[in-house]
Amino acid sequence: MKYSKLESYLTALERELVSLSTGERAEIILEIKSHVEEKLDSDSGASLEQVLADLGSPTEVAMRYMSDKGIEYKAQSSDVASAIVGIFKWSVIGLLGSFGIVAILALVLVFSLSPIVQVDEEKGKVKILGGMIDISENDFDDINIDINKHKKPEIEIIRVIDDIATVEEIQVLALDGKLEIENNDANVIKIECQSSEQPENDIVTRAGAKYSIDLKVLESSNCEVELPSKVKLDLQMNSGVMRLDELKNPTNVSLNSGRIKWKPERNTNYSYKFEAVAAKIDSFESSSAENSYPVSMKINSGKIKKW
Amino acid sequence: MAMFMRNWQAQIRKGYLELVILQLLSTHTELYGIQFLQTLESLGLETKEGTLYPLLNRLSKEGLLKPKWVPQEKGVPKKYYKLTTLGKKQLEEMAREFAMMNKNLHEIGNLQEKL
Repeated sequence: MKYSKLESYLTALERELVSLSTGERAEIILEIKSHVEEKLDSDSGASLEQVLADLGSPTEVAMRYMSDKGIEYKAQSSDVASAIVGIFKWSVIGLLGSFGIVAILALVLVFSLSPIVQVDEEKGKVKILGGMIDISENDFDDINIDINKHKKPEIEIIRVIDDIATVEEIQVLALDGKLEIENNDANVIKIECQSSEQPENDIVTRAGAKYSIDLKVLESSNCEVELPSKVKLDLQMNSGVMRLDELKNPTNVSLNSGRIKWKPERNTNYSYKFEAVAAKIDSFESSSAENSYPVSMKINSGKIKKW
Repeated sequence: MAMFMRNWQAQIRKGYLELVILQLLSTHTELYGIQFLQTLESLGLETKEGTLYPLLNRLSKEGLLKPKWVPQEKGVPKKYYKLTTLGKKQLEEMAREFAMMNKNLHEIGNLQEKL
């Protein structure tokens, strides 16, 4: 099979990247996979073997990721004293380097049974087997700008929907940051955000039976959104944390990287559907009852968590 | 190419490549791996994939670049890179340093005339 070569390449690379965090590893694998896919799609002449050969062996690539520190460069070293300091420094670096190599070899041995990456050729996805990889909650925090670092101006929007029966769907689009969504009893859309950007356009727009809440203009933001229950929700975000609190809605969630935190409402039935590339998913109780809300969650890398 | 030349080129390119990557992002705002590779090649700075990706990874860790995953209609998402404010600042400094090195090289010519 054409892709089994790619699979074993990525597995080997993943295994070699021992000293990196699991989140970082997953991102590297995903980036390399994305590279190979585009190469195969665009260069009609390029074979998988050629593309992989161009990348270099997994060991070679992994070593670059782990040891790429750049060269030491000393701007002015003319006198003898600094030359001696230089010799001493390089001896120490040499010694530490030797220890480092021994340590890496030891780690390679210890982690020789590390998780395996599986490539689903039909869907074109990388799966990290059996949840053996536990992506830590903090692994994805460094992808985003830390949104709570500075106190940002508040944005508050309240929109009353007086003809809720005619509304078929509410869509929420966000880029990076934190997005919290819960229901309210009133038929109201309420948005509270902390963001450095001030929106120029309307965040909430309506087209026919569909409401759209576009938080993308805020780029990195921290928003709390209240929405009416029962209406179908379509929640899309690029990276960050989505915290969904006891929603009583048919819900579609799509997040590229980060965490989806889902809190089920105790007396509500849900039927769940998950789609993930490199993610860890908690177990959820899916109901087949007729009154259950369909909930589908899609994530590329990160975690779907029950809370 | 002689062994010495290859080594020398590898060393001098390493730092230079970082400067070029930052400079590219100051004019192109957002690029992903293959776009970097193609642009570098068109500049005559052909770079191996196995060199570029770890380098982008490191520059991100240093806080000079900000990566962003962009979902694609089909297949795996692409990782785009952007300059951070720190990256912009660092680029200015690096460009100054590089200009100074160039100047020094020229000054050596003048120096010889005087001796």
